[in-house]
Amino acid sequence: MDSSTSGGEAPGAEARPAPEAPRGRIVAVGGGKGGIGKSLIAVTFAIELVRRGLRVVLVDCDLGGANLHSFLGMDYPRETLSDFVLRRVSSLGELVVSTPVKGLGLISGARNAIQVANPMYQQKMRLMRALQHIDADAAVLDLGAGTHYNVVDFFLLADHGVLVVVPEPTSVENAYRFLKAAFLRRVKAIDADLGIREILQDVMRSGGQRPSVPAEILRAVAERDPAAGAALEREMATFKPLLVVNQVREPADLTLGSGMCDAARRLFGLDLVYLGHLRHHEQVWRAVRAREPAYFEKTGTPLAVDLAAVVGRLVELPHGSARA
Amino acid sequence: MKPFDRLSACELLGVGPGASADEIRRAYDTLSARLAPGSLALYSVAERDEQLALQQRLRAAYLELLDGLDRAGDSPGTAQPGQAGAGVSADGAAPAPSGGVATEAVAPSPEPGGEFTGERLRRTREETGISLEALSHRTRIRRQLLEAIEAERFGELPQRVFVRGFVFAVARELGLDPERVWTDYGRRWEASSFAKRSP
Repeated sequence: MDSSTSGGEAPGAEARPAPEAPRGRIVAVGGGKGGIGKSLIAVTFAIELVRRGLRVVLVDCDLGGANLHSFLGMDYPRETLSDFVLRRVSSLGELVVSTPVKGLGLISGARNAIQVANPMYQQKMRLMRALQHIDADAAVLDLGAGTHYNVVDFFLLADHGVLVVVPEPTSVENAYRFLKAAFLRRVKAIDADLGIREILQDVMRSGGQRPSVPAEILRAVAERDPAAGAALEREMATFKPLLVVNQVREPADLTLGSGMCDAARRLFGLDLVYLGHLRHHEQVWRAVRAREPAYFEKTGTPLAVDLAAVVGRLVELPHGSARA
Repeated sequence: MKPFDRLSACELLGVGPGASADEIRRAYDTLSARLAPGSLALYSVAERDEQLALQQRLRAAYLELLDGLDRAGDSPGTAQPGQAGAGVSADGAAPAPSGGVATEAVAPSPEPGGEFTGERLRRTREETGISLEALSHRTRIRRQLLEAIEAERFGELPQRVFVRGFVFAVARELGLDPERVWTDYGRRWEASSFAKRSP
């Protein structure tokens, strides 16, 4: 990205970004279901980006169950996102702590779920703006489980929204649900001038056979108002979540990712971009359990090989492909 | 109406309009495997019936595109210069990419065994020693649908494009010429009152 040599300085070290430098990329990792390796993927993606010479900040956006520090073998940091949301600190930069991984900073998740899991709209917007201006080449957000809009909004904010699935029916089901929820949320945020919001409400209320299928929503909107339909279609074309299949164990699992992209295209009218898969390995699981991040940093492991391929595809994507 | 019913054959198979037979075949093979009924990728987004319909629709799209290629390939060789209709431009009229109508307009030469009816399909199947179960397994068409095809219970069958795909699949398994069989069977289907309700 920038001219800094690989090796990676600690975040916020001497190399200040030039004023004209583009802001860092935001990568959000979500997927609806819990326990499918979102946090692991966020951590290892961040490490792989550091390996590529980027200054990276990991942000634990799992506002109800923050635990990224554990993946990195760290104790719970004293200051967390709660302090930003509750205005105890004025900038996100004050919350970044260094991690055992050189070049990787961490902003830990909120300590108190009740206080911050559902931040007020104003606070959420403030947090999102701050994330976009964080001083790093890339920010990797680890989202919580579920399809609540407080999760989905962070997914939509990112330049790259990564949807994680594992080869299990429950995970696939939740991923599709997440996809639909994110799409609807995104569509509802479209410029109110076009009146899409009203038409949408009308469409959803009259409820065709399958009102939650994006392609059907588009058609119903276009029937009522061709201009709004065209705007919606443009919006759909820029909505391109990325897909990663985690915990691949057998050959049949290898077609799941492409199959989901094919299905989303044909059944929803939505395009997913398949980034690739990560194989299941006992060592990975052991490293997580032992709070042993050194394993994630090793090169030449099956995990490192898979990560290099997946993250390689991610960094080749145009900046901001997930947004208009 | 299912979302994929609105997609053209090219959109469904994800190939460009100028795709070669090889590309079409590859796209079909890949997709029909990835989106096979019961595959994990379809979990929760398509009911069983819809999964089967999608598979049949893929097959129909595949055949439609290959048929189109056949016609496009035939026309330059077989068309007599004198037969070109009035108003054809000098650079040669591109064959209109109409979907699967042209062949049915051609009068079929009667087969030795007569018209291909549902009953004849059943007889041929029984003579070949293929059970309904085996045929269902090979074509991935539900047994009830196969029975409806053989009994010509058109009311139990889906739209024309699916029926065409089914009949093609059955004909191929029975070693019959799918186009011939469909010319007869399709006409019978169209003549029935059920044909009128779908486009």
